[in-house]
Amino acid sequence: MFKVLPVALLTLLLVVSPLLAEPLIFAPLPMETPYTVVSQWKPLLDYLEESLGIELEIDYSLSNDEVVDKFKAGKLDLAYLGPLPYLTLREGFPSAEPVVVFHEKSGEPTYTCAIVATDAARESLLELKNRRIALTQPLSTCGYFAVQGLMQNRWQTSLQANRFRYLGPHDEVALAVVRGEFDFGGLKTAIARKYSHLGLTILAESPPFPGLALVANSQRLAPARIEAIRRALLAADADIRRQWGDNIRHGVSAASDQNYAGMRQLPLPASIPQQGNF
Amino acid sequence: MRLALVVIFLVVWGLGLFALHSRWQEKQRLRLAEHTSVVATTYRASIAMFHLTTETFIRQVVQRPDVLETFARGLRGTEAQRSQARGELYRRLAAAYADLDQHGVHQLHFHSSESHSFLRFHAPDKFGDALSEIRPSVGMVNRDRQAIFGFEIGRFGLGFRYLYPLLYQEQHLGSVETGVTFRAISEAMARIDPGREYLLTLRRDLVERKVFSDQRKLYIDSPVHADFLIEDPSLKIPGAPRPAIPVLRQLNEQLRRHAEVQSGMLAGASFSLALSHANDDWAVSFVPAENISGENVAYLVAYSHFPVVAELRREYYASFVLLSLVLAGLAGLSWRLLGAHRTLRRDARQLQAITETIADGLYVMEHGGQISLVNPAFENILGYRADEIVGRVGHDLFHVHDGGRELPQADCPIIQATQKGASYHGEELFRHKNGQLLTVELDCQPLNLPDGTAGSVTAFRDISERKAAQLRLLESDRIKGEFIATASHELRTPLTVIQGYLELLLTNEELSADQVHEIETVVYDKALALERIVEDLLDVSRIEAGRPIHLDYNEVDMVREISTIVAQFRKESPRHRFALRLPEQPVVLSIDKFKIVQVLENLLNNAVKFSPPDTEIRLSGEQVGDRFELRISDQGIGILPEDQAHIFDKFHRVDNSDTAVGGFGLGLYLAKRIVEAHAGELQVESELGQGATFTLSLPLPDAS
Repeated sequence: MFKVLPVALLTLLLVVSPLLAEPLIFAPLPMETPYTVVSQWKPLLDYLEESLGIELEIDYSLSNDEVVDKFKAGKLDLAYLGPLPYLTLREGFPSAEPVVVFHEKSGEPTYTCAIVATDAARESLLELKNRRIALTQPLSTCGYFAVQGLMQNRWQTSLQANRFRYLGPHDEVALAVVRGEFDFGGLKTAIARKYSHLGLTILAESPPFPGLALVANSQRLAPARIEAIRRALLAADADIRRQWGDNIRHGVSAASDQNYAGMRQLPLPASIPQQGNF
Repeated sequence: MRLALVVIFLVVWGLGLFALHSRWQEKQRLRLAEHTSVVATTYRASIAMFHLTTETFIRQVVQRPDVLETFARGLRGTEAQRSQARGELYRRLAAAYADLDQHGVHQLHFHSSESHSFLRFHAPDKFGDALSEIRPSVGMVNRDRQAIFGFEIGRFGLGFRYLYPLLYQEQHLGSVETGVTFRAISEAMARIDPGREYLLTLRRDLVERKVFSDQRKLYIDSPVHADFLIEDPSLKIPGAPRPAIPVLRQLNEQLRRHAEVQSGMLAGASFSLALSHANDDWAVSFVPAENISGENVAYLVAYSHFPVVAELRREYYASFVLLSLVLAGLAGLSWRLLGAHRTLRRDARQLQAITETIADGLYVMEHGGQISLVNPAFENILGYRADEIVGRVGHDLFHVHDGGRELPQADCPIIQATQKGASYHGEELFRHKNGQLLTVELDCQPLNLPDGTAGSVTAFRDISERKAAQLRLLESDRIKGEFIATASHELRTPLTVIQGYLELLLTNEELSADQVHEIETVVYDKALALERIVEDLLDVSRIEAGRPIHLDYNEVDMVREISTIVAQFRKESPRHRFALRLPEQPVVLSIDKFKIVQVLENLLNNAVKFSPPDTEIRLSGEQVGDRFELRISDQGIGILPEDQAHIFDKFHRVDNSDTAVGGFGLGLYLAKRIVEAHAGELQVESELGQGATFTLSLPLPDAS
């Protein structure tokens, strides 16, 4: 009897709480244009709403920093975060709890970052100095963090020896390079490949990072709710996922903070500049 | 009648309300039509503005040789070469596209001649998809190589498209298009016509069939129609439509239930309607957006405050109150007028009854003297029927002035008096239709006629008989006076003689016996004369009292009696000749000898009296039928015709100056009454200056 009662109360809470609660606030990363981002996520959110009987509302932020700040401020229930934003968030906000990680097109629960250029700019590699480099955001895994690492490992140089600027979304980085406004750009490899038809070429690719994850705010969401969301996403079959955006339709895996143990071993820059140097 | 008035009032009131309500609705309909027209015009103006922007961009930027050459390279060669060219094209036009984007033209899309997507500047990651099925316009522009424009739903939703074919070195490369989002259009419309909120709602079937699958979730059910969708305003992303303000959500709920909206949108109609929410009036206009094939693919819904509804409503209620008050006033007046009319009709009937029943004649005369109304008494008195007299000038027709004079109407004292506004009373002469003159007593009052002129109403009565009676009374008084004078004289003369002779007898003892006898004879004769006078007066008194004349009938030979009387007159009037012609045989009649002798003596006395000396008085008697007629003719002065009618009247005297014996004026009066008492007749014939003939006719004994 005493064992059954908590389960019953929990079940009742799960059933009733959606009727009483306000919509859950979800923040995607502004990796691409707002329409692209929203259109990527809307089918998945609809799926969760239908599966769990909850209501989800998108809160679009213009930067990863803004997402992290809102998360810390307790304004978000769920967020789509890359490894670096997650680690940054987790450091000051332990209630950030990974729910699932999204697979890449390859099916792996990891992703890589790339340095891209147009064919015309390939000659610049002969002298990687004082070049214009487009970055996404300071708090983007494929931003300063990944590009700095790649440049050091591949060409034994650094961003500081060149001119870099943060552009925000990954696709904006790709297009800015295509437009010739920058010699190189750093962005998520999967997104870079979407612009290969514009002559964008991948020059270097990082080791895999933990995939972008859906992170829950355990201060706002009960463990059971988080678990329900995780199970619902894991239960989505290929037919359901086909409706989702092309960045997130390739499968999910359960995630936890342990996924980022390797990432924490990497030599992180002492500090990531919040502004470009030109 | 009053019930009819109430019914008429209600009917007129109802019709008035209906007319006012129709006018109100018509005005509102016109104002709503204006809204529809304004929204449609604003929409077209916005489209035209973007068209101009696009055309400028295409001509000045896209159709440059270097751009076309790059595009041409992108359509051929290896994949790497095509990618290089695509990237170069993107690079060449990126800045211009950014500028275009700033002007609200957010989509720029190049297509190959096979209608495949080559490069989307607004979504560069999407390319290579076939468009001809989803985007018929792309197929059309590449087929016809003619620029076309119109709304169309594509992979990225709905927008207004401007498509141009691209030719380079006389080769058809493909096409390019720009697209304007609804938000850009609505913002342009807001700049042209501020004060409206807009909603673009898309046909559900087209969206579900055409947009990219990952884009479909960006649409939600339209708040105004189940067969339409809108872009999800809850996404809160840049470029997305703004969420509807609360009042619009309330209005949309009404629109969703509005039958006209539901049927109108399915029919593709342009229309506007008025809605109210929270004491605020709104006009909601629906303008269909057509694609290049003329197919309705979306609806532009525009919301604006519509204060004119309140104004029209106030105007309607004010008109309603005004109409009701005016009609109520009119009804009240009509009610009173009806009452007054009834009173007037009653008075008119009473007046008509009075005028028709009063014995006095009555006529109404207009300013010019024309008769406009007469009553039956008028017809009776003057002999004219109303239809003969109405409209004619009464004065000329029947008014006669003293002595039968004809007087111009202007000089008529009645006309003069009434035209001055004065009344007129008096006796006047009116001529009967048959010409007879009537003395009337009239009372004429001025009358203000409806046309402002002065007419008159005249009441009159025929006093001819009264006047005649008065005249007769005066004549009677005159005759009585004369009679008294005559009687005094007639009585006094024999009395004086008797008195004188008796004094002579008493005072003179020396009179001889002959003288005494002569005196006694004279006295006796005068006494007999007095007796006759008294007898005559008594006879007259009896006749006047209605008693018959007392007759003592005897068998009398008229021949002998006439002869005796004539012999007597021959002695008494020797200067006249008496020619007597009587039957040779006695004619015996049963008569009162004394009375008939009195008649004969009277006739002969008159003949002698009115015949000059030495003239002949002829008497001829004869049997005529069953009667005996005696004609006594003289050669005297004759009798005037007017006197002949009165010659047998009491106290009538042809010559009043004559006071001789027998001058009472009773002789012929009594003679005629005596003869008529014998069932006989006494007649006179005379011509002035030719003498007179009296004919005495008495019945023979068998006849009587």
